[in-house]
Amino acid sequence: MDLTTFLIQCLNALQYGLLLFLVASGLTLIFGIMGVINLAHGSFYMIGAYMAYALAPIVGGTFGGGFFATLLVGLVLAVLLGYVLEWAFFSYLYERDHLQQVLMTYGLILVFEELRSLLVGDDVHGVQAPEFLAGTLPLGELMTYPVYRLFISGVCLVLALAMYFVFTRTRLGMMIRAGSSNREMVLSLGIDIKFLYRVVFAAGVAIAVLAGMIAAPVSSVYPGMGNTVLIICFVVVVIGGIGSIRGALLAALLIGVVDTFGKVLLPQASGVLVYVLMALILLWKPDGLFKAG
Amino acid sequence: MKTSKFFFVAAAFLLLALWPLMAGQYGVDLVTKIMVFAIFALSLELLVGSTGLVCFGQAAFFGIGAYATVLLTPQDGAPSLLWLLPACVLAAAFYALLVGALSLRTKGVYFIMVTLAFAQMAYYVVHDTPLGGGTDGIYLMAKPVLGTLLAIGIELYRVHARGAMAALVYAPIILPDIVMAITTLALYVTIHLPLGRTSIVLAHIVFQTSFVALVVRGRLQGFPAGVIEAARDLGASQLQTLRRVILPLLAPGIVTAALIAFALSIDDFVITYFTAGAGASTLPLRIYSMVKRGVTPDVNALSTLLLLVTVAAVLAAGRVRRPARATEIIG
Repeated sequence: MDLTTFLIQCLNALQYGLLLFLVASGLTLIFGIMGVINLAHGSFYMIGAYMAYALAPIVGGTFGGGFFATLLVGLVLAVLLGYVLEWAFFSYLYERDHLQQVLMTYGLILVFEELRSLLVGDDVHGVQAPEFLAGTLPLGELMTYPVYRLFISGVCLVLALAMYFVFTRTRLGMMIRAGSSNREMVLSLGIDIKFLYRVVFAAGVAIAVLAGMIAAPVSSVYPGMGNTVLIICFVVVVIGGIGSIRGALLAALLIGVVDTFGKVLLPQASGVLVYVLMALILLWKPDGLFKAG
Repeated sequence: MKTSKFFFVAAAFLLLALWPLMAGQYGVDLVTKIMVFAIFALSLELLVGSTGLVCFGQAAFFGIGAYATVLLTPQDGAPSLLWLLPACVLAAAFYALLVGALSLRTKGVYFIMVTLAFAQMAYYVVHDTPLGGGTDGIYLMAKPVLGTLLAIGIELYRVHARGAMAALVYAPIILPDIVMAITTLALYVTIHLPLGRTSIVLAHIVFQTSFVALVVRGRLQGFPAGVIEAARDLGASQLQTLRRVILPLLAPGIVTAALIAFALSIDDFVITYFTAGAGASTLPLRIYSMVKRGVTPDVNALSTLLLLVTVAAVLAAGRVRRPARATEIIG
């Protein structure tokens, strides 16, 4: 492998890892703060990707189009969806045991998949990257690298930093962190914890939807894409440690590297490598690399 | 309450047993599928219901069982469920052992995620790697041991209806060969077992088992029963007693039985003739078909060789018949 290929694969690994982090962070956020294991999180990613495919012509017709307009509409819809879901389903799950949470959210997966099949169909679709991001950067003499992948990495990095900032530097972040460690105490201090949870959940959904929307031009849009992402996100969360954003970032990057270079160096075993990595981490540190709390 | 429950279960089983007589192909298939998934659901119930472990990777074990069945089925003829079933169960159990050792290091919600992830790993293993070339099962070697265990069971342990069991075991010896052959063939036709090497092997196992049991049981008649009690007293488990005390004492008998079984098997004609299918044949069958077209030098040579092998087997049997003394094993 020469230097240019190595560099390209590094960029790919970074992009995949950051994207995974974006989805996994929503998962770990919802679990870490509300104690709900959300199997339907992969479905939000899938919904995002299908939104990128289906919303673009609609938004183009009404607002004159534009990639960012589609993203914005998608995000608004995602926040609404998250808010409604939390109000209708998830707010009843906080006090239940894991089995009930798993059954409920697994049911949601089936509902979302069936809705997807009814509304959009079961075909695989490609999504065009926006024109101003469709170009390529020259790398070395022969190789080029698509600008859009750099854009994905950039968006993910910005979001990660924003999340870090919100959690550690703002009053909202402080209230959320307090709510995760002692619900009753926060409630007695006059903070509307129900509303707070609803906001966090909506934010988690919005992040997953956004990840799906910006990933759609790279990964294409296909049925069942949510479940694949969900399982990899579980691996991320298991390796990183539950509820730890920092751990999720590190684990996502680790998986990005292992998966990308596995596909280049050991194509036959690439599917298994990520899970082998998880098995090794479990042997070494059963609680993940960074255990929260 | 308890009796009504019992009657319900009994009625359900009776109904299931009678179902193939009433239903057509579709109905039988449907109920079979329902039963399969009922067993699968039961496995999940064992885990979630009894141990409280919410396992999300249960489907992987289902899949491994299915893949193992296909991979372990030999190229020629149908395999026997007798070994195929345990083998597939073991394959899935082995994966469960590996995955379980890792998954159980985690708790609660972690466990759910990890089991799901490992199930996905199993998917990738069978999906991405070339798992071709089935493995042929070799179960001829198990023949004498199966008979030995039966004789030990009848003679040394209290078995219900010992007399009836002995009669059942020795039936193939008492019955004329032709009856055995025709009934075996009728059974094969009823259960749709294709005739071939498998069917010959199964038929031979059935009637050889009786001879082996007879010989080994004869040896057990003069068996020092105190030795077993002594071994149990000294803390040997049931299995240890069998392996370290009973089997060594019986070894000459088992070897003799194996040689007799070999001799009987190699010259059996009637049962083999009825249970053989296209493409599978034994030496006597081959000789018979050769003789039909006249006695050639090949037949003479083959018969001589067969005689030599049999004489050698008998001589070898005579050498190992000297009984081992109990003290030799203990001391």
